[in-house]
Amino acid sequence: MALRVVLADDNFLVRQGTAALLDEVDEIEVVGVAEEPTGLLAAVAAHSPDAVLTDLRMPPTFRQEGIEAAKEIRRRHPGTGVVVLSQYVEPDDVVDLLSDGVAGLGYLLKERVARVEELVAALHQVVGGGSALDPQVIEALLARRTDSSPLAGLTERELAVLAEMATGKNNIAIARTLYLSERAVEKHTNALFAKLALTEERDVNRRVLAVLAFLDARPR
Amino acid sequence: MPLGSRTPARKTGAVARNVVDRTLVAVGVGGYVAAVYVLVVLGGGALLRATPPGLPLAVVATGVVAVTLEPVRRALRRVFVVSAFDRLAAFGAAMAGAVATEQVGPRMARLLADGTEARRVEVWLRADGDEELLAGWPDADPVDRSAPTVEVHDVRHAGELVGRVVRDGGPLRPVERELRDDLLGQAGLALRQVALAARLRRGIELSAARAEQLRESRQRIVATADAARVRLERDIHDGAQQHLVALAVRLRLVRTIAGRDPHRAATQLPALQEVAAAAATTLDELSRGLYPRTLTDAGVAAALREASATSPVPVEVLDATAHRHASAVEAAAYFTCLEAVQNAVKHAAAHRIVVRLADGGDALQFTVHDDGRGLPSPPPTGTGLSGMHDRVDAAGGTLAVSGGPTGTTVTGRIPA
Repeated sequence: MALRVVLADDNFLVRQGTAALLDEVDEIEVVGVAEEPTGLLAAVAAHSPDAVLTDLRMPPTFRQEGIEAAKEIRRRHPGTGVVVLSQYVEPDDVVDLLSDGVAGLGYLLKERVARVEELVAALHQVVGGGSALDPQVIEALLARRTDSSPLAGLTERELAVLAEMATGKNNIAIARTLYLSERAVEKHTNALFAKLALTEERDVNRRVLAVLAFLDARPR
Repeated sequence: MPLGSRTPARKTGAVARNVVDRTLVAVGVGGYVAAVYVLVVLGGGALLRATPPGLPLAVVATGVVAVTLEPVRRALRRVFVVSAFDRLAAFGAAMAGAVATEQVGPRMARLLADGTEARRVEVWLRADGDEELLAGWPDADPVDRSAPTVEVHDVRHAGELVGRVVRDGGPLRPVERELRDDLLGQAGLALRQVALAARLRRGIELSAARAEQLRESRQRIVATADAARVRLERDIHDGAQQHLVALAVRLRLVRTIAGRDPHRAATQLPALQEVAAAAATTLDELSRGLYPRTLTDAGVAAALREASATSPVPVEVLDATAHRHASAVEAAAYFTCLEAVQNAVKHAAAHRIVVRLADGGDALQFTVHDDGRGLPSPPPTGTGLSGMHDRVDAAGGTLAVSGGPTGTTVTGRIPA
């Protein structure tokens, strides 16, 4: 069954183009479009889509409307995944977006839209309750890592595993990406959970909290 | 003895103090005479067992007093009365730099007033063609220079008039005249110093004020530049960048369709062309807004005509310049005129705006006049007035804004 998607972008040409492109993808069905946050929330309420694709900067202030809308949609419709599209990587925006939980949320650069497979993969990811972060976001967040952050004690390998985890991958997918055995990935995840003092948490929470610690590793 | 420290009657002025001094001397002299008589007549009588004391002893006592009275009186005066010359000497020492310049005037006035028993002495300082009262002593009504008891003395230094000393107090005794002349002889250098110190202080205050203005102007320029960057980023993000995103998406779409149905892919191409054209247009508008090509190619008048072509208020540009100016000069004139025109359109409710451009030697001169309702008083902030001033200041030029109920005129001059 195709994913039912609502998309929002204030730019007419982008909105039109993205809708046309997604319509060509068999597993995606665009059920509604909107050009600003209020219209987006209305369309989501009307169509109950599986996923939402929204621009970050929209009217009226062109600041964080997309992030506010994404969090609101996740609150009102926990079954709907949201991918926020941004022109540039803004680590603060990412942390803000994921501050109430990473499940079902994604943050991609707008240029990924033209690489439609990546976009579709991200939509699938958030629909499944995972998270999808642009590789460039991970890079930017890693660059902000300082010695005083809770991640300072992690090895390079553990950080790499955590970075992959932040993109919403499970251990099997992480193993494939990093050319590791599943057992090795498991060993690294357990080690990093221990270092982040998350051993007592349930597995799904552990992953979310680890990613949050990762995202929140800002310079102090 | 330090000046003015020994009399408790400070406020009562020179006359009262002199009375006190002289009374002390008189009392001292009287006491001396009485003591001599007691000692010689009564003491001598007792010694010679002559009762009552005889006439010869009185004659002896009178003789002693007559011979010694003047030296004793002089000694007493030395003790009780600070001579005018002591004060003058102290004044000279003070002028040598031991005293702050603000003390010079008051000390001069007080010295002359006390030393010559004047009703009042005033010291005037001449600065930049004006005379200002530096000090007066004692506190009394200002001296009327036309009164017969008043003498006015020019104070000069190296031939230049640096001030005046005005004394109200009638004729002077020889010793007082000597004091006055000595004081006036020193006054030239002293007042010169005071004048220099005052000028220096004014200069410093002026520099500080200018520095503050400069700092504020710089802050405004930086803030304006930052605001322009924010606007620019937004214009790029919301305009050309989105069009390029749309173009990339469309290209991908065509690629996807082409794999399945080449004919349908071809039908997508006009939409692609449309998006590319939109991107080009927004970039064109953006770059033109940043720095008009016409300004570089054809000068200020042509650029202003182009910029105001779509203005809701008719703008007439009258160009009397005979040649082009340096690009920095033209840019300053163009953006200032444009701001003035935009202000007139937005705020003045004008029906017509006239821009005049002219050469002023090497400089470029301009006026922007509108027939609107004029500037409110005080002029509002944020209508670009300070921005215009900053821009003209930065170019080393001058700007004046004048106006009344019949309109506003902005006049500026940007030097080469």
